Amino acid sequence: MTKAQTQPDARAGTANQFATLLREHWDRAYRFAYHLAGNAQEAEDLVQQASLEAFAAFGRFQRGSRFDHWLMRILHNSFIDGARRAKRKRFVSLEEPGVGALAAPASGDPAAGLETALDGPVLQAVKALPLEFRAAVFLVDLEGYAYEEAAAVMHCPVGTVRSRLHRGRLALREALGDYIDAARRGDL
Amino acid sequence: MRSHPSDLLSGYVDGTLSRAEHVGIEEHLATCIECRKTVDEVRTLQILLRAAPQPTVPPAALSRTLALLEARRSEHRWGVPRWSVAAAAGVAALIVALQWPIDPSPGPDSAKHAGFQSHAEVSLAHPLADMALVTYLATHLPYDFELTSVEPR
Repeated sequence: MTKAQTQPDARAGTANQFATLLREHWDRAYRFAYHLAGNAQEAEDLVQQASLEAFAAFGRFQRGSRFDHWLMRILHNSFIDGARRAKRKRFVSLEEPGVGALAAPASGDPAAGLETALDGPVLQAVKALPLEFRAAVFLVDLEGYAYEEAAAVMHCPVGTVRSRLHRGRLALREALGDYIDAARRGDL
Repeated sequence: MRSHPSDLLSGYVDGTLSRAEHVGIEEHLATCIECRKTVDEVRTLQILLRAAPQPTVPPAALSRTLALLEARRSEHRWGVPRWSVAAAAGVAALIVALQWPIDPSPGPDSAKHAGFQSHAEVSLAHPLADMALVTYLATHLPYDFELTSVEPR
């Protein structure tokens, strides 16, 4: 078989391999995108953008390593880039309280309002956290990532993950105090 | 004022501290009601988080993304954008043009004649050669020699 004949087959094989991995980790990537972006429409745009970027860079993906970690890192970077562009326009910080407004549904949008109502109090509280706090809470508390894995996704030191996680948890403790008290009493 | 090992409390709950840190936190917790309460509340919070319903993944979102990926792949299947073909043709034409002798002066300068004949042969052998142009130039330029070895294809 000539080189010209094998190249299209190789490209198709690579595309199929990527599609298989993407299917396998899609739900987790979408959930991460949802927690970062804050609503379904922006979450799909984000995970789609991250998928295109990952496909373009798939040649650099180290076979045998965790595809979900790699994809989540690309997704996180993509969102951070977008948030920084928005920051330059809106003058908001990625780490300070108030950046949760980025995740808030547009006022007057009935679909976004319904989406928020369906989230429930816990998810709403997570969505109101500053960006990097909710990323740490999502990865460690919701997805069970080790600190080192979360640090790789968030591209920061492990100590930073621990700090962001703890501050995020303290903020959630304040927001969900009534639910936590009820759970401790055994009322939930 | 008494200091609390705030950040380390989450690490303590998650079991990610070093042995020395772990022992230090346990000693602190033995005497600090406030931090014991924080640890307890963080553990309860984790239970709430894991029990909370997660966002629903739209069923068609993956299909839409895979279709987009396939479309992008098809766009790049042949690999060469149209602008690069036009640019390559332009560069080739420029190279051929620069190979023509610019000096039209007649005369029995044998070195100049040999150079022109060589150029003509190379140009004719070139896959982008314009036969009509080469023939016209060989016939009409005021050189006093014949292109004996150059036959039109």
